[in-house]
Amino acid sequence: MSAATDGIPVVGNRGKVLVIGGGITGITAAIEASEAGCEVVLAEKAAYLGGRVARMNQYFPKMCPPQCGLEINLRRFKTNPLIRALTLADVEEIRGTPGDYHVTIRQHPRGVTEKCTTCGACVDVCPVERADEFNLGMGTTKAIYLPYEMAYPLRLAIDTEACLGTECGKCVTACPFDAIDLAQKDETVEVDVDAVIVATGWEPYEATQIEGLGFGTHPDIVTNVMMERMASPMGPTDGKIVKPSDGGPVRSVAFVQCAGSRDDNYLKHCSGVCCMGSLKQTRYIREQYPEAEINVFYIDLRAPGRLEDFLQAQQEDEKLHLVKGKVARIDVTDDGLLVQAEDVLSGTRVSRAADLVVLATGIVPSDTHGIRIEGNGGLATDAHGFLTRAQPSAGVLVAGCAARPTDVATCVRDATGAVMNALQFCTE
Amino acid sequence: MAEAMLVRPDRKFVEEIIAAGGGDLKKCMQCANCSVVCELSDGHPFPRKEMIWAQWGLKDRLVSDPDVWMCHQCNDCSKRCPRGARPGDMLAAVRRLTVDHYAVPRFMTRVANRASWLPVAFLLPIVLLGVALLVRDPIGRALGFGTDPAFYASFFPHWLIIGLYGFFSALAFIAAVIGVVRFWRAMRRSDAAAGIYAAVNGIPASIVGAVKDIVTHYRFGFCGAQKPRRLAHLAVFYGFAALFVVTSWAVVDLYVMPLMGVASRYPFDFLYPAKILANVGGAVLVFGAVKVMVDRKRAQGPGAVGGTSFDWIFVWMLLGVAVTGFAVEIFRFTVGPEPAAGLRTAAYATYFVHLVLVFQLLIYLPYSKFAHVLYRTVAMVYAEHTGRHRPVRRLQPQGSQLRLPGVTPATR
Repeated sequence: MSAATDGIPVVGNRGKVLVIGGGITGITAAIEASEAGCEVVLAEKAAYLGGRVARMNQYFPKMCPPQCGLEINLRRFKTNPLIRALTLADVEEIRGTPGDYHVTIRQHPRGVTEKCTTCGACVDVCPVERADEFNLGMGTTKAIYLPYEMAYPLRLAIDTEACLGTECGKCVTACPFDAIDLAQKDETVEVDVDAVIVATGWEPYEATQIEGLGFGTHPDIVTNVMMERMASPMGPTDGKIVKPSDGGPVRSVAFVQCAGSRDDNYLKHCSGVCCMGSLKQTRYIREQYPEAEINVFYIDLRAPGRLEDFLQAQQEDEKLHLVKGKVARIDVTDDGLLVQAEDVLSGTRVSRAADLVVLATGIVPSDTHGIRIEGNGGLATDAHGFLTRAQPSAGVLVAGCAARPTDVATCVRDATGAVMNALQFCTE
Repeated sequence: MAEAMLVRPDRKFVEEIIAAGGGDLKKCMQCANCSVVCELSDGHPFPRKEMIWAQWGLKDRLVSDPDVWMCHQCNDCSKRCPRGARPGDMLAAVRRLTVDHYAVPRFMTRVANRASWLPVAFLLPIVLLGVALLVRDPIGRALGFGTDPAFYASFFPHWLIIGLYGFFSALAFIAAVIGVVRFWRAMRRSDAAAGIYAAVNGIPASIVGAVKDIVTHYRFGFCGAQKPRRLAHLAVFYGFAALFVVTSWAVVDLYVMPLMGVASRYPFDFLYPAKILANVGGAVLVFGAVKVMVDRKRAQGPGAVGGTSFDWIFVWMLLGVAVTGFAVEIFRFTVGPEPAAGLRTAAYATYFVHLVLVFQLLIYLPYSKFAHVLYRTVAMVYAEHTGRHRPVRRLQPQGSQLRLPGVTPATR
């Protein structure tokens, strides 16, 4: 089989690769493997591709929107006949040996078929509201929803847990294209591949677990991932950074670094990117509020390599205060939120008022316990729950944040490396 | 911030802190979580700065630091430390080493606090009291004291107890005064060197403030993770205080009241008010000491306060004094006028043990954990004096510093 897309010769005789996870790592791996001539099956558990990156507003240090790179990648993806992408798909079992794996994938019903044009007639009639999971619970969608504007596949999906089912059926009636099928059931897909690339990515740390920081007790205490959505023009506030409590403007913001991270009581590891992430977010604030006081409370500021320049540029901001001291407590008072810390460099207690508090929560590896590996139970993990690079079965390769917390650029390089490794197990 | 500081680390002192119970101090990464978690850390935050002083072996700073003594070791800081560095335990170790540091003579701290030196700790009063018994009759005759017909006084006369305990208590008192005076001066010197010494309150007012706090255990009440410890400490404190008052009254009753023409009522009847106070105080002390032990033994997890020989020897001593005191009392009220020889021996032996334990408690005071009575009090007075002892305020914005626009000290 041979074809050509974008001038790149595609040769489908280099074997077959399964990529688990459709985030930036998985998308990159799938494209790279296909462009090297492999057939690719990509299994993504959500209803759309893009993962965490799709929810970012901008990348540091260039402050460019992820939608740009994501769009390019998705285009390469869509036009590539060697890639078969499965969404709402959970990999259940991997059997066999390198070069000869048999994989069982459970595909959950989307309820919406290829006929969908995203006209939205169904959304108008749907009676059920659900928390908007893409926007981390900020706002709601209907039970039938479009995950986000650039979602791929560009089709609505039904949250089967929220949906009232055939008893309601209003969407079915409303759809002018007969694209809704509420009778869809779980399906099992079996594929045979030569290698598996695990790019299951990460979840933000559950901030409600952190004692003293009050997440969940006050709407103006948000997490860094929520901040990305708020700053995003496609987010729940159309890109306007406001106090979630009343939608009002923000005069002061406190960033709480290591919220639960580097902490034996919560998440032991350093996620390595939250310092830069918060510094990046201070720019979002500054763009919208030139006069806002910004305090960033940190244990250590981690700005490796060229990122030092980014840090130094931020230090020029006179209303940005970098305070060395971990925040142990946020008091909710009649006068607003008070962030409590010790300023280590001066040895004094500081208590700073903040209209908005952003908790820089860390990166937790996605749960991969559902994936059974013949003879090994599951994927091998390290002390922090990340997948080890060396898996018991040599043809199972790990890339991106599934292996360790890191930034997008590293994930992309990781994906290429994993593909190079996978090719060793691919036979013609 | 700008001037250079020459740090002279005392590595031996670091090892001493580790040996005295601060074994996890090197895990500290200076995040300062502890200084905020602590409900008592306010104007001069602790224990973050103490952790780095400990890591650097800055002994001079630590043994002259009043903040070390503001801590009641609730271990909120240890419980929530991200690294398991256990700042609360480190402060306890520094308190022990502070007592060591100012002790005169220093070898007495070993006698009083080390499990391996316990035989010596017991032998010292046993020998002294034994010698006193041997010379009881000749000295008594020489000084003109007649034989006291009372049950215990016929064995160990009051004049002998008061003479012996008075003499050695005076020595201990002198040692204690030397220690706390040096401690006070060190705190002043240290603050002056750092340019932060300020006499905010007069000494009398500061003493009143500290005593108020101690009597109510006010600041102790803010401790979170180990809240039950406050009740135990209150019981030990008031139990002991009651016994101390009654003992003092007994001396007054025996030797001062007769001078004023009032006949001594010693030994007190069971229903005599001072005796009732003594019995209640003893019971409260036993309850408190046992609760201290049970709380320490039961405590689990990162907030636990285990303690070292420094703590355990002291609390056992307190319990021993109270229990033997009750045993002595039971013998006194149950033996008839002509007790059998065996019963008399048992009673006297118990009394002897009681005297040995009381001797240890009093004479080892400047060296044992008992010394915290002095050092903590002095530190609290100093804290009142210098105004660092600000009342604990929660959820209270403190002046313009907290209001918007919250301009902050530059940290870069």
